[in-house]
Amino acid sequence: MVTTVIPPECATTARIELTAATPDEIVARVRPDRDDPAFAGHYPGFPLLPGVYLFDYVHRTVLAADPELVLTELVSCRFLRTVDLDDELTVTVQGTGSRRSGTVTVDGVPVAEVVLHYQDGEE
Amino acid sequence: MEIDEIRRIIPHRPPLLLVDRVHELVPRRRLVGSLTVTGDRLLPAALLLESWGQAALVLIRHDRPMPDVLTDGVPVAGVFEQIRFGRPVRPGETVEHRVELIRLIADTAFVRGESVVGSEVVLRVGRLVGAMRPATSLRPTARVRATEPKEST
Repeated sequence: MVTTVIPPECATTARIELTAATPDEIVARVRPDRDDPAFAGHYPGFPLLPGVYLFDYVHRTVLAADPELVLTELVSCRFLRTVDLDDELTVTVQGTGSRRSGTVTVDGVPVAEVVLHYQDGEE
Repeated sequence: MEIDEIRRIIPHRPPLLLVDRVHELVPRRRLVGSLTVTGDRLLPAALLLESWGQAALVLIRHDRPMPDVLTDGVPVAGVFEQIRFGRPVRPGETVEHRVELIRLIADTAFVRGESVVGSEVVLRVGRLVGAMRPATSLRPTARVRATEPKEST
């Protein structure tokens, strides 16, 4: 499944391709969108993927499988290395309910670890 | 402080320059800045956080400007913790960022704060840790490609 509709609360325009989705785990392949005009300003002559985009890719992967969820908290995000615009990213999200843990890797090497919290049904 | 002076301090440029104005700056302690959202889209959560982070960078680097990443270094995020989102910021609204510097050790900064629209809190930042890296230390794949000999045909 490839997501082409960008949720209005998301920042990025990359293609999110779900490669696996079970009740406990979602896996997606993500290629940064080199045509994203944001890269011209981040930074001139030295395009670098903004760290917040990695958080957004994990969030979009969650929404691709469960579009009704409402994000309430970025519990934690740890950046382990920078990402080249030519890198293909793999996003793996585990967890159910309101808390999801995501890992972003490039060629099997972790580049970011992200924990997100979504609105509980009772909230 | 207006946009021209902000551009002299941080390396971000449109369309990803997300701080319009600095209203208050107490060196090495705190800053109040703002962004007015243009266009017709809600400000995505990731860009709200990016905007807050750019305001933090103005506080950290106002006395050591870094307008060009190639010569001045690249600001990189290390850790975000306890980032709570309120309602989305709408087009036409001005979001005010409040940044507090917790600690600065060499080029590593620890900051926290919040963002408000009017009296509504739309973002709380429990902790953000950021640092500076030389441009030459980043983008290893790009550097490898640049030094690879071209295939002969």
